[in-house]
Amino acid sequence: MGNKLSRKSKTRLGFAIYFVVVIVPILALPTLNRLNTAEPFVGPFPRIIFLMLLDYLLVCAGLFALYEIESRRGDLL
Amino acid sequence: MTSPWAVIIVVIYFCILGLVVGKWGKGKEKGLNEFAVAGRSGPWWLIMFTVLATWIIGSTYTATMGYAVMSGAIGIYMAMYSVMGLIIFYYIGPRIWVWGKVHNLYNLPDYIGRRYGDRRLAILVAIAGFIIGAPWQIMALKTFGYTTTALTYGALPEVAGMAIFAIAITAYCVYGGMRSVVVTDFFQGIICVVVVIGGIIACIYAKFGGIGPMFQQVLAQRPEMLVIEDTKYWTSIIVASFLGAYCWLEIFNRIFLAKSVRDLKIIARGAPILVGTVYFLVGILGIGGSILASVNVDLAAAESGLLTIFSEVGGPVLLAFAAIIIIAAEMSSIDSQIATAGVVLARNAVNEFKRTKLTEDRVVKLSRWIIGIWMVMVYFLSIGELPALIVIAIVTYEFLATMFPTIIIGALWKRGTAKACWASMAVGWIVCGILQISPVTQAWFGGWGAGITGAFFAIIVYFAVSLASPKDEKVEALFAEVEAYKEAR
Repeated sequence: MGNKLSRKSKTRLGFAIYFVVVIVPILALPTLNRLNTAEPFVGPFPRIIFLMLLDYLLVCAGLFALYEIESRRGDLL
Repeated sequence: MTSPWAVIIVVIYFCILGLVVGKWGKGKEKGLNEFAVAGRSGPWWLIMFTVLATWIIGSTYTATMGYAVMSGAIGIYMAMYSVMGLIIFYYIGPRIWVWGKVHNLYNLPDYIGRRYGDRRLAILVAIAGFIIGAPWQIMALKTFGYTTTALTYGALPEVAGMAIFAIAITAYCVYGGMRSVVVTDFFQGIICVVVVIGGIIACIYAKFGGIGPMFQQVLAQRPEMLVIEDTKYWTSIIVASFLGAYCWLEIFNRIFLAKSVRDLKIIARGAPILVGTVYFLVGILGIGGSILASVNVDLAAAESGLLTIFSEVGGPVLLAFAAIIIIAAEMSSIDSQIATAGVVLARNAVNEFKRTKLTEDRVVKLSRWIIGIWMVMVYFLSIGELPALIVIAIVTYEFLATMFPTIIIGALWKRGTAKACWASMAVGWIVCGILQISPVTQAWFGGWGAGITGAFFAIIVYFAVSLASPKDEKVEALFAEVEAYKEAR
């Protein structure tokens, strides 16, 4: 059977999957078309703008977590 | 009613900037390493702002603002794609930085030449990158002219404004090369981030009473602004922009400036927060602007929306700061482009065609001449009438996306070959060209845009041809260097 993935590769693959899961709802047309409404507002934001903001924050948080994990393990390269 | 205060504040700002560049804009060392990549010595906090400068350009505050005013929520697409683009930076940055350090690479064509061992491919990428960047430099110079005239209430004509900034930018690029660019971007980046975040939030509260009330007013008057009107276009524009994000000469060049892999990754971690915040704020201010009579009358008024709103809320002082952030963003964009293009043309085009190769000192000298001559040409192109410029710029952007497999996949996948690059770029450019010339053909591909369709075919061809080609031992060794570098640290 093929080569086993290294710990570093697994972490990066994990983030890639997380990224796709987070970003797909506002990029893939079937979900995007369903979510693309102004109401109901979420806090001060129209729904679709709130989802953009949420996605952006989740991606940034994911990058922070990835960096912290890699940095702690010495896997930055 | 005019006020001299806006002009006085802008002049004082640029005098201070001149002093900063004069003091810190030139390194102690000489040579190509210093001129092209600032000695690969930048700490994360310094390089972060030069990375931001390549993302937040002058048109962020004009074209993006105008787009949000006219089209609503879709105007926030830049926030999404810039965050996605910086993930590419996180993934490919470290290994390209290592190859740069080990093999003295200074730019994108250098990397292509080393990665694929194909000199002609590197020359093609150098020339293509230069041509693709040119319309944006002309538009940048036009923005200086337009902003200067607006700031001086027409007292200074556009050609004079363009000339002043062309001379200033050429001077510091020639003087200190990439280090002066980095120092300028750092100084201007801090000012911009503070003014944009503080200024836009203040404007939203002053004009609408807060973010929530603003959206409620938009919902009552222009509800169509709070949804994405064309979702297919939204997805298409984000994906195509994301694919081309790290195919720009000057954006790619930033990878080589950091002093270590750790610094590079700290930048990749932090930059999306600042870039996304700026784009979000500009986007939502634009959506608010869609219900302001002074901003929503036509496209020209929409693109001047930031200046108008800042001026209405804060008078000449805030108008001056709005002008500063537009000019600063455009300066930080064009200086990176010009400085990188100078080195690329000297080292990766002219030098490659010479029988006797130039020494590094001669390359630096030639780069300086090219920067000066090219800026003069850009100036004369800018003062002419180029009505199709924005169309040319957008078309070039679409072509850039088709280089994604050559530049990005090749950095992550060692099986990618030079033949695959030639084939994928040929197919990608042909598909993209056909779809551009005859937009009706887009219906054959489900209505997706030229860039994303061209990139799709380019990626398939790249994988197919690479898998059909034999493994390259040199490339295996190149990838092994990345692991070895880690062990040697």
